[in-house]
Amino acid sequence: MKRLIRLASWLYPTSWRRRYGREFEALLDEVKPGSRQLIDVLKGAISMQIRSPQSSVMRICFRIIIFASAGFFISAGWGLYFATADKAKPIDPIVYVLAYITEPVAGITHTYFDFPRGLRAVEIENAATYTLIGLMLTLIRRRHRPLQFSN
Amino acid sequence: MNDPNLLILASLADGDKHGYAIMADIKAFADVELGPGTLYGAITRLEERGFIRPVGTDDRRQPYRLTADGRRYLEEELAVLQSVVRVGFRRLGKA
Repeated sequence: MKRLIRLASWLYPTSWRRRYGREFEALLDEVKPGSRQLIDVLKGAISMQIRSPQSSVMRICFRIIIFASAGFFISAGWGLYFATADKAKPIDPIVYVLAYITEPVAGITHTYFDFPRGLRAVEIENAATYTLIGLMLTLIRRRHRPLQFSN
Repeated sequence: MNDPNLLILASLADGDKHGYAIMADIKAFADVELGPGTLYGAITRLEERGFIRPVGTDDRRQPYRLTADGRRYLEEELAVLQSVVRVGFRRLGKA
């Protein structure tokens, strides 16, 4: 566990490690290692990466991962919902509208094209769609408001 | 009360301390266990704001000292807290 915590401390930004690395490692030598400490160090590293002036690329990557994950899990959620829905009962139209909005590419291809594919393909497709939306939003945000690095 | 910034300032109010000593002190007086990431996140912010400063040492463990600005900020925050505590107890009928 101690080794894992030490590895996690390397996730801090280089500039931060240059300033605080030595004393932080001295502190890690003294604290009782545990999963709580590991999570705390990981959280600290993410927080410092977000605050770091060098991390604009990392912030964008982080946002893209969040958008892609959202697309993937929303798609997986709909897949699970439709797979487990009671076939005897009709599905409320609002559910289809919501599915259409949250899975736009799957909705359009299902409605206008005969393009059957598996759930995994739809999940990846939705993750890619959300990533694209995330990228566009990030670019628009950067254009209208420069990224802020401090709290 | 688990604002790490305030807890660290309160810990340093009675003298210089290094990271582990701050953690142990906060555990003793507030029963709050700050993790190393939370502690150093707060130390970074407090140093940037000029509320604490490192004290020269040869040791790997770096002690920190409360600055005049830090002391002023701590006094202001504690005054607000004191007022909240007073009003809270009065409204509970325990003052």
